[in-house]
Amino acid sequence: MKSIYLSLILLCLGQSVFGFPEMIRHGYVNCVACHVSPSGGGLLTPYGRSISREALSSYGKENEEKFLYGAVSLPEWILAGGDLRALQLFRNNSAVEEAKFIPMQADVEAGLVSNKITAVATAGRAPQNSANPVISRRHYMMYKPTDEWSLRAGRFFPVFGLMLPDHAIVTKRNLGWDQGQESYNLEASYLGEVYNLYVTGIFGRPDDANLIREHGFSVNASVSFLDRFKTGLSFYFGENNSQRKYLYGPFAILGFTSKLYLLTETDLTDKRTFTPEVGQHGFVNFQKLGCELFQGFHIFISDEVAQSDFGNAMSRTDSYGLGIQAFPRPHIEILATWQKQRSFAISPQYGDLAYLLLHYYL
Amino acid sequence: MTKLVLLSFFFLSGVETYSAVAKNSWQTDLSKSESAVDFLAVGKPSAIKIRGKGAGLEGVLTGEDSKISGTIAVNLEKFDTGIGLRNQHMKEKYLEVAKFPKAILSNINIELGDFFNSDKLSKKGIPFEANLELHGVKNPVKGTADIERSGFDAKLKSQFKIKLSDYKIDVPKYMGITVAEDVDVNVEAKIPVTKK
Repeated sequence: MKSIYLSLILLCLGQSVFGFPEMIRHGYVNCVACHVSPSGGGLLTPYGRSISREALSSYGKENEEKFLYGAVSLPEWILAGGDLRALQLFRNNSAVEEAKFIPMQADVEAGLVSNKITAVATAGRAPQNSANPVISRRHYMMYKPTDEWSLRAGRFFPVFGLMLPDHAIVTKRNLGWDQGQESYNLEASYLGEVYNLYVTGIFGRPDDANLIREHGFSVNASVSFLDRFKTGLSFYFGENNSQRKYLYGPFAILGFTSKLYLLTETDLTDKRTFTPEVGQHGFVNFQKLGCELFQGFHIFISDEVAQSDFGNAMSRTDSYGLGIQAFPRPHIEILATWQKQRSFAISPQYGDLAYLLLHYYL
Repeated sequence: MTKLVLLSFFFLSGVETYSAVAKNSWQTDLSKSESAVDFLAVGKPSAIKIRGKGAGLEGVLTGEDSKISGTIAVNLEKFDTGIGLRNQHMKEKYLEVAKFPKAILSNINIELGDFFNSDKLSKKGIPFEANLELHGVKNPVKGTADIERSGFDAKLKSQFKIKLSDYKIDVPKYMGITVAEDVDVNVEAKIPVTKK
């Protein structure tokens, strides 16, 4: 049982590829100021590196934010980065009590960048029991005919809801966007001053016939207002040979002040299996209220609820908790959280989950 | 009876204060009243919203019946965009505040019509004209103004757009982000109702 929990946690917390949408409180309504990817996360632009020192971190010296602290000088058309992550975990509930250190991620990432065409790929340590010791979780080619429009093809997560780093939250884990779930997609995106639109065709994993992944499409549309607010709607349709899935719901990123922000997302889920023919309607809800006490040091409270089947009360899970997130210097992120969690399928009593995440970005 | 006297006194006081605005002229020293200026510039690609604020106004606004005029100035050093390096670049490289420390809005002309003589609580979209001296260059600007009564004061808000190249300000560029040439400016002042 312990190994099952551990596997679940590894899956949930394994890889963080997204950026920090709460930067909207500084007027960053889109991801592409700081990230190469239109959906955020991963490889940083030169501007993103600069902002990691100027606005994200508590302290930092000149050039400290650069790749390898500026020790290696790369031509402008090459961008490089990477992520190292490790987790110290503690869990105590009616089914399991454990404490464990988990090395989670060791990836490098490189991009060849020109005005119109960009190519990006990661390479890193594969999860345990993988056939290959090295995998590329994310790789894509992108064409940008204008500042606003881009067309991207390759392997990455389709855009849906809040593009947050934490895969453990119900709007990621419960909807099917855990570690290793990246699919091959074709994405068109428009990122304007007010409106954002992502339309993604999803083609599963044609590179690996053993992986039964969904094919379908997703649409994510949002509107920004008052400099620091953004709200939108997402829709996803996916189908494989055993089930059909529809997901849809609103999300919002609200920068009330330059310090106080709320991230919220609610999605309805509609899943139908083919044999036997069974339909399930459910929902997921995630909320995080954060406050930057001083530059680079945040406190937050979070709340999550999920129920995969409205007709089955035992399918409900919920959690609430608090935490701190610190960016003391460029390249370093520290996240510590403590949550009360329960799954009615296991017990109606709350258990404890606490973890300390260390993230070093190259 | 006491209540009636107090009520009468209250109404008379109010009418007397507003009539000063309606019939006479007034002046207000903005350095002694609430005022604010902010600007919004957009960086591309990615549509970064760069809001500069924190600067107050100095100078005098004069009201003559339906017209507001005057000359006001802004200390550019006081602008804050929320990010230190961005402030430094803005002030040193682009606005050159050491050489041109103030932006001056002169020949302000706002025609309020019958606003002060009416019962209206607010009026929006009033044409606004002035000359703006920024970065050593003076140009006419046009925009709109909104006015709203708040107790015995009025809040005046005006909005106009400037083009950086009109003021010989280089288009700010930093690490692949370019600021759009057009910048929105908002000016807000509380006009206390005082006799000249």
